[in-house]
Amino acid sequence: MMNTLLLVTVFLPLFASGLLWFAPKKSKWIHGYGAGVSVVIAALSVVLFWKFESGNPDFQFVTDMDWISSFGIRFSMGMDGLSLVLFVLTSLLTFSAMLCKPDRAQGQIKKYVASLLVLESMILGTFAAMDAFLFYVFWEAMLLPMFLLIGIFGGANRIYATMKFFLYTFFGSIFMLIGMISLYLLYAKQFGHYSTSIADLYQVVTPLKIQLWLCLSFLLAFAVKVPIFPFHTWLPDAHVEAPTAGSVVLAGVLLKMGTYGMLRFVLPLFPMAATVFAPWICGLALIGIVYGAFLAWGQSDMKKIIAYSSVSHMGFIVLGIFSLTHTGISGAVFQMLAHGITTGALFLLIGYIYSQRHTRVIGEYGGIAKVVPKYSAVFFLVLLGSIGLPGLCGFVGEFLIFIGGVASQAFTGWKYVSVAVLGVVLGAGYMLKLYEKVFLGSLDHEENKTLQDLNLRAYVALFLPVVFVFVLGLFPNLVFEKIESSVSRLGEKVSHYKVVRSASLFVDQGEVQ
Amino acid sequence: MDQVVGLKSDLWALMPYISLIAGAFFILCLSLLERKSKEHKSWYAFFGCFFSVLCLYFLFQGRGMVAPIAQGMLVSDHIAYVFSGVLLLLLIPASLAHAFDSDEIGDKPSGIVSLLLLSACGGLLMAHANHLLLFFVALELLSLPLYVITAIGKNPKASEAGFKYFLLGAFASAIFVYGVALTWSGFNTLWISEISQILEAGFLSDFSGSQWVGLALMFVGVLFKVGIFPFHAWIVDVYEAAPSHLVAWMSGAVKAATFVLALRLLALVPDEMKRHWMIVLTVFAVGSMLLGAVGGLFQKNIKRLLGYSTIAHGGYACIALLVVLRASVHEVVDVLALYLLVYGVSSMAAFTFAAVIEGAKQSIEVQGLKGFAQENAGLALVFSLSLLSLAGFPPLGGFFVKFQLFALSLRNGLLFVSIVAAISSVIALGYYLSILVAMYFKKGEWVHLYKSKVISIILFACVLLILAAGMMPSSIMGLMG
Repeated sequence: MMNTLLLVTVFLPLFASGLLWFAPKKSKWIHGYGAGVSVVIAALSVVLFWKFESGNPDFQFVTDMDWISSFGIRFSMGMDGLSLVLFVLTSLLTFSAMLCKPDRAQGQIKKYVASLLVLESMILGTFAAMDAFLFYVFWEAMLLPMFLLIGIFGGANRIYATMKFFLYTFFGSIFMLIGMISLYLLYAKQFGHYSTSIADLYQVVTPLKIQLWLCLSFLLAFAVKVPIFPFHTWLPDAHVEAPTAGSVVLAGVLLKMGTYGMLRFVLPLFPMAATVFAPWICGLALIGIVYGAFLAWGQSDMKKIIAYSSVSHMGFIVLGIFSLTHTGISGAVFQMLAHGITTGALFLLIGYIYSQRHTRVIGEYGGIAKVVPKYSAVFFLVLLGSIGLPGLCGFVGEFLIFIGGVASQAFTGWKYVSVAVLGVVLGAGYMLKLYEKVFLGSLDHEENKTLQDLNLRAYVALFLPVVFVFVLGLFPNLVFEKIESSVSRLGEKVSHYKVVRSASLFVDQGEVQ
Repeated sequence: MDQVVGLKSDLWALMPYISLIAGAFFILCLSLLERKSKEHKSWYAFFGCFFSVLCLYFLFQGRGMVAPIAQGMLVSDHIAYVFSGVLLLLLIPASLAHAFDSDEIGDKPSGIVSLLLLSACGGLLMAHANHLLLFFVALELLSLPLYVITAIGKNPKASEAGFKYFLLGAFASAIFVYGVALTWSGFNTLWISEISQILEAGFLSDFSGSQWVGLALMFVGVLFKVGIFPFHAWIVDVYEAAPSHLVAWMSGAVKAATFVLALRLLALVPDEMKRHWMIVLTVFAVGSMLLGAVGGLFQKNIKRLLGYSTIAHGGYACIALLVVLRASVHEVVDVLALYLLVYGVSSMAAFTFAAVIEGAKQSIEVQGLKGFAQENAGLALVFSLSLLSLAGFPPLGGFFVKFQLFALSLRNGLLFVSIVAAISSVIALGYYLSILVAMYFKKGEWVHLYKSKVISIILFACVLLILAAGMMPSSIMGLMG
């Protein structure tokens, strides 16, 4: 079975970056070529979004071919609602990121465009993979272009940051590999043949004791990627050192791969373990929310503020997922999109001003709203979207996450939620403080008087994110319609176990002993 | 009459060995005809390559031949076939590279190529041997040329390294022979097949402990050749000083040959003893993996660094040996062979790259590669791919064989070593990446490097194989099976 549309969308960027090998070294067309390719990908992904049948919970656009048959590994790709929305987000944000010019290009523009394209291809592949082995290949291969992006085009401390990023993530995912193989062997034991298909692995019956360990091995990989509280330290380094495009993709999409992994693997594969761990993970998420917010409050580097705000916001998403309720999960998925769009746009905006002043320290700015009014307006809008003003995209997700959290049976919801709400307040606090210090007040620094307002390239890059800040806020159904059936299928799987949880605990322990 | 028929069929079965030995002497004779042997290196390369391919052809022809060869001295079972295939596949590029790029070795390409063929013949014998004394002869035939080539390299440390290699190797051989002698005193036979028959008959209690000591001592000799912790001390020094092309071949091929012996010896371990062997081998495997991973972090010289990588990979391969003790040899053979093939090819690409760098600069330091990728994008890409394959990064071959190895060990309940392998592969990634960092992220003075066509072809072939093993391993497994 083959679906050409999906395959082309995933592999076209990879192919296009391969063609770059033959391009002349310092051609000025390379950047335009990259932008062109990413436009095509974005258009294709919109077509996919359009053609996707909303009511159907199954995987669509399925491609399924033999790959490594002696291991039961198949090359299978497809999309359900969850993958679809993240897929579209990836392609749109990559287009925006592609338009940023790196500061340290110096004749290396080829590597820049090629890395971004490969990165896009790998991320799209991760979201579309229906086979655990294939998923893992994309998931890991994605690290390499990001490693190059940060390492070649990053700031002063880029090598430290990129090594940390790479090793941290690799460390997390190698344990996922062990967990995956164990699960794969369990499947073979129970069904008599090998398969790495995710849908097949869903059917494995795992005793609770084993489930806990397997779940931990997967969670480690995803927790590093999200990142959840004690594993977050790579994120600020990577963000601060990365070039603008790197930050946009990193915050906008890469972090979502962690939460996507939780939805794709952890919840459906280990529903019992997930219910057992839920209070703990949500506890860590809460720590991340509050701690990230406090750290963001204390930073003077604009990128660091957004980086730590990501830690905080991703905490909300994790909270929503592990509320294990339909509402909470829907909210989490929605929040993934909203956070991707707003944070991506904020990094674009910060990168824009950084390219003129070569500093991101708040104290170097102040009162620039008078010089760059359009820039300030767009910044404010996106910022409001980020802190969750009703009517803009950030609100819907957070609201649903809170409802889900309160309704959750996995933990005493209202206590958790009340702490999380504190994070929202703090979020509004540090964001508005950032805005006030940078844009309002008196214009003290001479250099700031000559800042350029948004140019055409920036408008093009920012257009879609800004539109989506409104669209998602006003018409959230556009998303919910697509993800509804996938989420409810997921919810059924989890809630089924929640009901029988107390009973099954005993049964399974009995079996193990 | 029977004897004549037997001789004739023997002759056919022996053709692989004959072609290698004939090749070695033919090339030596050829070099007598020339006054300056250097000028005819393309001929040596051609004949070296020709005889390796010939050998591979005969090996392929004789596949599945069940009749005992040379009165049973040699067996041609699946294990022997697969591992000698790996060895010979690596020999073809190696003989090309040695003849063409012999500047770093000295001006005697003919001698080098014939030594290489003889060494390969030793490896081939080792893969097929069924008699412990033949094992010993094969081991020596494999090793002696390696000592020589190591010692005549141009590196200032070459003679020191060669001597060290030779002395320690002699020790290991002595221990091996001692093991053979003890085994003989215990079993009254040196035929592997007879020993296993005696063991199957199950008269274990009739024997003294000496034969188990003998088995263990032989195994030590094997581990030394592969460079498993705690017998790894020679590896790093030898790898640093030996000619890079030799190491490119040696790291994969010697392992492939020696692991056959390891598999055959492990198959002899009786069930009662397996528990003890497991413990010791686990310590060795874990030690190699961790030592290889941590030791490499502190290296400045790339060849030393790759030496530590070899130790780590020896440790991973040891996991397969552990599985032999848990389950059976048959389960392991294909996995281990593919592992060694991919490892050998990746390491061949890496060391061939090292040879190119050594041709341009005298030393090969990690920091000396600063800014290398700017002007040499292709070479840098090849080296990066081979390093990432060694690190086990998807979608390269190194990842798939790692996946296979993990699946194998987890299926047999070896969770602990799998976790150690995972951790050590993360640590080792640190030093592989440090090379990428130097090449891609730092600025330095590099001009576009000239590399000969042969070297380019070898590197290209290696990369193709690395990619193919990662993305369509089925086809490669099909070729080997």
